[in-house]
Amino acid sequence: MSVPLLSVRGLSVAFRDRRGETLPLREVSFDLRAGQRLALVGESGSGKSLTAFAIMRLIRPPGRIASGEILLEGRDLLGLSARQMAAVRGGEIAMIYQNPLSAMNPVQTIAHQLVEAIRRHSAVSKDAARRRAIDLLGEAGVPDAASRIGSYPHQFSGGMLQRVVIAMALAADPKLLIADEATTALDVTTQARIVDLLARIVDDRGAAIMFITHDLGVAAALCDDVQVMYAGRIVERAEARRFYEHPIHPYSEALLEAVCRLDAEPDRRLTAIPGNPPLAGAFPSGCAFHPRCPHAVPICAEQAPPRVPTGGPGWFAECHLGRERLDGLTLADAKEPLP
Amino acid sequence: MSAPTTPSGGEAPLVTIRDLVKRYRQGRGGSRAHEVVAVDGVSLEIRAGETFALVGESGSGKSTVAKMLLRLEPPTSGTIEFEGRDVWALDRAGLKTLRRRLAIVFQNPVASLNRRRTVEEIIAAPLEIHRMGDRGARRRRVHELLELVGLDTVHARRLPSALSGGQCQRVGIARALALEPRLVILDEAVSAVDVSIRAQILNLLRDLQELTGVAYLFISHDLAVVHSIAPRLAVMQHGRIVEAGTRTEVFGRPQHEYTRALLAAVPEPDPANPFPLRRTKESA
Ligand SMILES: Nc1ncnc2c1ncn2[C@@H]1O[C@H](COP(=O)(O)OP(=O)(O)OP(=O)(O)O)[C@@H](O)[C@H]1O
Ligand SMILES: Nc1ncnc2c1ncn2[C@@H]1O[C@H](COP(=O)(O)OP(=O)(O)OP(=O)(O)O)[C@@H](O)[C@H]1O
Ligand SMILES: [Mg+2]
Ligand SMILES: [Mg+2]
Repeated sequence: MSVPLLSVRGLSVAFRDRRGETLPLREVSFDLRAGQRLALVGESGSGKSLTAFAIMRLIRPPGRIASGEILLEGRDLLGLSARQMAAVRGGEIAMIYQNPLSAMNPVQTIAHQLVEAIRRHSAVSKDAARRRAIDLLGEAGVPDAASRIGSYPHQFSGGMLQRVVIAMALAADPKLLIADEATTALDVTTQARIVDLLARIVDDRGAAIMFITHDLGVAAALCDDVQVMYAGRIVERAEARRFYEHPIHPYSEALLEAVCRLDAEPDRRLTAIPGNPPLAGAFPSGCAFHPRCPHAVPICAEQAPPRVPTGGPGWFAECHLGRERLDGLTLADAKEPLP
Repeated sequence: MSAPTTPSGGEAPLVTIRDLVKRYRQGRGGSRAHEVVAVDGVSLEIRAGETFALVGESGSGKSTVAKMLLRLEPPTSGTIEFEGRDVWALDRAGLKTLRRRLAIVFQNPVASLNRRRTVEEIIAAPLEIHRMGDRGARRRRVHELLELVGLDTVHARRLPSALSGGQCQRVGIARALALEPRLVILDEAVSAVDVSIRAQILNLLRDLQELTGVAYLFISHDLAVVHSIAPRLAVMQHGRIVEAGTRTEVFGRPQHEYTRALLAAVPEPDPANPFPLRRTKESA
């Protein structure tokens, strides 16, 4: 097999405060192939953005990358000089940040910032860059792009800014696009359009996408693999169809049950996972999900769960009951073999 | 506009907005200036104790309506009444009451929190400004609020920069609830949290509504959530309300083309058929 585009190995991130060191990201490992669209979903605060920031090498003190390797086409990004890394950032890897306002300079026009982003990675004239910027904004669905490109960030609505940040990330023609909640502030019609745009970029340019989202609907529409995080670890990965139909990890199952669907009975209490998400520094022993897990058995509190392969390339679930739950699934589906 | 925006109940509405217009100049001014009509003749009413949703196109003016209601931006024309009084003609005392009874959770959780203050200080700020209780009472209230939104006391001493996006969002919600307001504007308040916490917060908002009779103006892109919690809603496009009515009317028999387009674009968690309504439309 060829080298994956991105390979993250044993990545841990640590934060130090007065009380000592916490590890909000613990030994995270996964691969991403060129052309692949990977959804990263999971609990709020589980480390999705931290994973993205670590890949971009943007973890700032008091945080640090405590261990691990981040290989881009086999080259370890953690070994690069600051200058080399700056070239990778916004070049081979581009990121759409969760918080669009903080990614923009408030005192520069949108035109200025986009033109700069384009010229940083390709030697084109200012006029050509401006035309490209207008095209990109149009592609990302900003109406009247040509007349509104001279605006300042605060003059745009939340969703319009989000599209500016998407345009900015696409400007560099990246090999890997990391989108952190890129479509959450968008109405569903615009969202569908962005999903189509991202899908096209993957198909046309062979880029890969790591799509961080809370919207399991959008993830279903865009992604071919789903990876779930809980308490600083990846607890399950599977191909999308399999994941939505037969989640193996009890957390994945609970997450899918909490999705509010359009056809749900109105004015009802929504299904939520009982209890609160754990905090870095106070992760429960054994499997971090065990205090909230309806299937937990004594071993779950005592030992870290094994990584159980679940039948496809790179698919796994980190669960003591993974084997059983998989077997149960295989039995139940005996007539209808797994995809 | 055909559908009614007026609640059927007899009592005076909590909020009455009439013919609201907001124009902005964009860009640097001079010859490059370009006028944007952000809100173009919006009228609506919100009843005490109800949840009213505002959905629609990104950039259609939803947040601008909220800002004018909060007195953060003056309207170009039109009127806004809160508890029967014109919010733009209030005296000092009236303003103080408005600030207590009307709260907002902003769309952008991280940017809306003071980055130099700890979570505890942020949530305590409205209590201090309005001189609620003594130090100890305020402290207890802060911890009560933290618990309510599912944050741990460990979070209380942290700066917003040490929290995840969804955690910041919950700090914003706790702050908004601090003074037990009559109306809370929730501008995309639950879009940045995971589905389980979202469900928890929505259940919590519903419980609080039953308990205290607080009303919500719920601005959201998530139509499934809107359907679940808002009995009445309005759909905005290009600064106007293009359709308004009850949940049953708008979701069951959408009249406007834009509303239908919106419903067709709702993605469901099913990779085999992520846009069920889009499909039916095409195959029909
Ligand atoms: N500077 C910091 N000091 C201490 N802890 C931090 C710091 N920055 C982040 N964390 C912690 O790291 C954890 C992971 O944060 P991260 O932003 O990656 O979450 P996330 O999965 O992206 O969540 P969300 O979906 O809410 O955006 C959180 O619990 C957060 O509190
Ligand atoms: N301070 C401002 N100066 C100039 N134009 C502005 C300003 N604030 C908002 N606008 C413009 O007003 C219009 C409506 O913006 P608003 O923020 O109300 O939209 P929205 O419906 O909340 O959108 P979203 O769903 O993306 O948040 C947009 O075209 C926006 O660019
Ligand atoms: Mg995040
Ligand atoms: Mg808005």
